[in-house]
Amino acid sequence: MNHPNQGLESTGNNISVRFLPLFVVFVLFSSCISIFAQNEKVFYGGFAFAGNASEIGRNYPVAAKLSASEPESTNFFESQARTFFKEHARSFSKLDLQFGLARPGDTPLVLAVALTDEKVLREQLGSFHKLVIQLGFELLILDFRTMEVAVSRPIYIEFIDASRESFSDDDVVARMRKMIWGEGSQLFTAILEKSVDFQIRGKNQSTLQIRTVSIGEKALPFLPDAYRQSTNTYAQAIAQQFGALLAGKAGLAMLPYAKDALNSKMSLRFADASMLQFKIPPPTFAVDVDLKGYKKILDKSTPAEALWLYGAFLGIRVYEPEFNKVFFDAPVKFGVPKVVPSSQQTVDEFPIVSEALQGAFLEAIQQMQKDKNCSTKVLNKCKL
Amino acid sequence: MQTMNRSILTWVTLGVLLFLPPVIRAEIVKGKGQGEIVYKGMFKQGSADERAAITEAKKNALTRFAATFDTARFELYKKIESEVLSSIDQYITDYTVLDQSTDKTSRRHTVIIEASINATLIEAAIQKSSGAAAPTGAAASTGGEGDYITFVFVARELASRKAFDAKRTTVEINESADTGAEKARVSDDGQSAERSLEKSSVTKKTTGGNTETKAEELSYRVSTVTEVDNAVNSVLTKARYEAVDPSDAGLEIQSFKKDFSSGDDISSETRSAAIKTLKEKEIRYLTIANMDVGLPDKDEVSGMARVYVTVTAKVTDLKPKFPKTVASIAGKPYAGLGPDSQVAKKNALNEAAARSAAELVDQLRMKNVR
Repeated sequence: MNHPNQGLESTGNNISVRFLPLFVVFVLFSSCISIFAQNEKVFYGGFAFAGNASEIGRNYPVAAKLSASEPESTNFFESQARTFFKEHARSFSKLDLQFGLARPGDTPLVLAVALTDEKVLREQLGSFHKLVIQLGFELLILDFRTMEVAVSRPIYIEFIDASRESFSDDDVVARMRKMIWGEGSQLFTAILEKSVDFQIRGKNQSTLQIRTVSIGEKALPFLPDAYRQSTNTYAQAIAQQFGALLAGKAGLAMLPYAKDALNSKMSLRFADASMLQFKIPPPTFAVDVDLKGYKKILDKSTPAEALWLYGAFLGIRVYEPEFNKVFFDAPVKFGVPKVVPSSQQTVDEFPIVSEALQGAFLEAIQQMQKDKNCSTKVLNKCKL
Repeated sequence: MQTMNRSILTWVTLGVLLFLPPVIRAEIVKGKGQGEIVYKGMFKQGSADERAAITEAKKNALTRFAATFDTARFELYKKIESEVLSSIDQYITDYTVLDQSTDKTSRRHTVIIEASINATLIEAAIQKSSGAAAPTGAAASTGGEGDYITFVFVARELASRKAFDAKRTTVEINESADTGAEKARVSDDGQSAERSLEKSSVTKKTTGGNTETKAEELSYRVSTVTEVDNAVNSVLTKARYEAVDPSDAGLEIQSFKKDFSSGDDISSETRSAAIKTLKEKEIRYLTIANMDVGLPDKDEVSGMARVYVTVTAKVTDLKPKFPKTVASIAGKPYAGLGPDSQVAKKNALNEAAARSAAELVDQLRMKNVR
């Protein structure tokens, strides 16, 4: 005789068996969605100086002094960066930023901020002393498995000051400190702006790199002595500026500019004194910037003032470097007006041509975006 | 219940297989390729002609990737090239079209792609083709184990340099000869006679000789490094060679060190003793390498200390009546970087050991030495 509940039990089992696969599929599907929705873990790696370890003092004299000004146990840049990233980890909404030690089997990706360029320009204009501090940084994601730069985002900040007194070295250090200290500083405000769309590029994401920057002779008379004597240094600053605009305005995946294109490596010295060298992978597309020159013409003149027009003239070439397939090659120019009162004895022309250059870069980006060939074949593929 | 258990197991296993991240990751490298086809009739997007051009571009990307291999590896790749190209989609996991253009006049369609190349799969194919993945050569006859290989990798640094002054030997030959003429004159009246003697002397001096320059006497500090041995062992083991530790093989490492401390090769005594020992122990291959460690300098790009290590190595097959060299490397330099010269030296030695062992393995595979 059958037990009265036997049939029920068996029916219950049958129901379980029938729905179990569905349930398992549901659970796996949900977990699968959560796996894919999860951001990739990236460990915070710290602050680093880019370039030769032994030449940090020469390449970044003010930053090195500022770094050493803090007590020995705390590196100024590192402590500022760590505090900022810890407090704003959630602002990097497309990354899962982790702090602490990575375990074996963890992601090999590490986030770092590297100082790549430091320029201090001191000039006397009439009775005034002018100070310009330009700092170039790269916000990087480094792949420690392949020892390659996986993602880079150029950041360029500038500080201008004027005084009747000349600026001492300590004054310069104090101004630079102001540019970096605290979360409201120029540096961290710039990083915070970029945090929302800073992400690991996709597997088939194409990349763009500023490959060469050439400075024409007609640009030299407008440059400060420091740049005139070393055009490579000015080229680095130009690459940094244009790279920052391409990433910021056009949202492109950029690779760092390598001073020596044949030896495309990026050395980083971290705050813990470790020195590491990362390979900059070959880019999908490259950009050559040819700064042909700056020019000024007198537009109007009255006894009270004169109106000058300053122009920046560029050649921009976007191409695929291995097969030398050119997608965009055009001259770009941009002019800015400057009214000079007759009473003014001297004119500081560098900020004016820098403004013209900035305008020319934005004009170039617009032209590249408007150009169908360049836009569809290059920019869309490099978009983050 | 058993049905239900089986069902759960099946689903869970399926789930694990589907959703767990793979433990072993293939090495994917990016490479670019260009493909061009000549089409007939009208060219259409998505047509067989376009697919053919992309296939050509994939092949080109793989060929360009293979061009980065060293000579021995490239020779091994050539053996499997046709097989790889015939199943190109296995080796190129995905691609992005960077550009395509159609020239209607010449009826040519060109495409440039950036491809993701599965380098691990290519390496596996090379290993399979060279037999490294299978039991080694003698395995069939000996029932499982292949021919054994042992190695002595010594690192050496210059300890002292003794320079000799050039030795000059001068030879001087002096020859002299007197010549004379005697004259006699009788006076006209015949009453008196006069005799005179004219004498001249000739001296000949010949100088010569030779300068003997003696080569510098170099002495080296020789050492064996555990990390180097481990690196070599790892390469040989991964390539499925039966590597035997030199001390287990019964080799007198000290004799090798002593020989390399003053010369560039081992003495005939050390060599004979090693061959005898290895033949007795049925170890077929002997690899000897000396790694000359250079002086540290500075790498201009990174600012780090850099040390060059130059490797000279050869593998000898001891099976024939007269041992013969089956693979060799002559003076190949490898560089290592580090925050100081000690770390740079260590890195250079490890790099040199691993890469030279890999090159020797490729040469052995090329000659079907397993």
